[in-house]
Amino acid sequence: MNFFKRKAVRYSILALLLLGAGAAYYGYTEYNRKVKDIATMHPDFTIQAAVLLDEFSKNDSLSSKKYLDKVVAITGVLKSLDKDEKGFFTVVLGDPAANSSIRCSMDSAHNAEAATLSNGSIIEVKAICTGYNADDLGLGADVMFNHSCIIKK
Amino acid sequence: MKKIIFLFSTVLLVANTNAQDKYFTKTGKISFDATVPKSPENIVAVNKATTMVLDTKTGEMQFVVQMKGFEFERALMQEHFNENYVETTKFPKAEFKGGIQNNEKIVYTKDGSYATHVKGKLTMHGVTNDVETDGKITVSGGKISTSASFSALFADYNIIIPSVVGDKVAKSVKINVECALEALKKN
Repeated sequence: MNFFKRKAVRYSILALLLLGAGAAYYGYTEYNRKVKDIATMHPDFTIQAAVLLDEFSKNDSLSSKKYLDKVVAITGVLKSLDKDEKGFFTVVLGDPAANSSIRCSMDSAHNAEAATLSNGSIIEVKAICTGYNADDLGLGADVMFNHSCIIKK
Repeated sequence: MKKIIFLFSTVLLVANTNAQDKYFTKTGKISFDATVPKSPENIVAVNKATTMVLDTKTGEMQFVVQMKGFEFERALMQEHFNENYVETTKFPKAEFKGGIQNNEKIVYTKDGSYATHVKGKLTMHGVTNDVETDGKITVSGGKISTSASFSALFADYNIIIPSVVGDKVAKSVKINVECALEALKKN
């Protein structure tokens, strides 16, 4: 009887240790988890730039509910390529004659992919939707994305 | 006829001058730091897509930042920021409206570094508070850039940090704004 009791206690301790180690490992990996590389993420939506802009201009609150935090693959004309003083690129898609745009801040790991793009070319960008700026400041409306990477040049 | 030409030229000149008074960016940087000595690591994030407009004639300025655009190194920190603390789905934007109090002392046409005093209202997490801080305007080769740093108490914006991490996150967050502006050309 004692033999079985000792065995049960031993197995219980072992199970608890394993459980504790598992929890510690989970906590450690979860705490250190990096933001996922956009290149490995599957898009929730694949859409043309003009269609996306049209959706937001018609109903921005509904479109925000649909696209915010989502991975979107967008195809459109490269309207401009903005480079800041630190060398970070923002890819601007849309009709060059229109005031509204889709603005995609490049992910730092994929920033170099934008360097060789030329205005007027049709490209595909994958990025995460972060919001919509209506034309309140007289600068045109923008659908905003970050963590962008270039899929097709 | 001469009068009409003069009037027309004056209107054109005024319209052009107004356009050149305004400067803007859509790639302004706002970063924040909520690190304290007990933080297990730096609690920092940056947003590289801040929109800002400055009217050099009046000193009025406005910036808008999409809160979901803040980038953290660690995913868990970013998720907590968006979902638990700042509730970015419910309150997607932060906005500042204000002005440079000593705008008359800044010569936007002359290279130099000018100290500024900025006052205005900052709206974040659905709460608006008065903000006042010192900053800097740099004019170099016709280009204007602005920078300012200030602190904001989380509690002032109803942002609640859970007590379990309360001693690991600063109660007052340091916010840094840097914007390189370009002239707003009116079509």
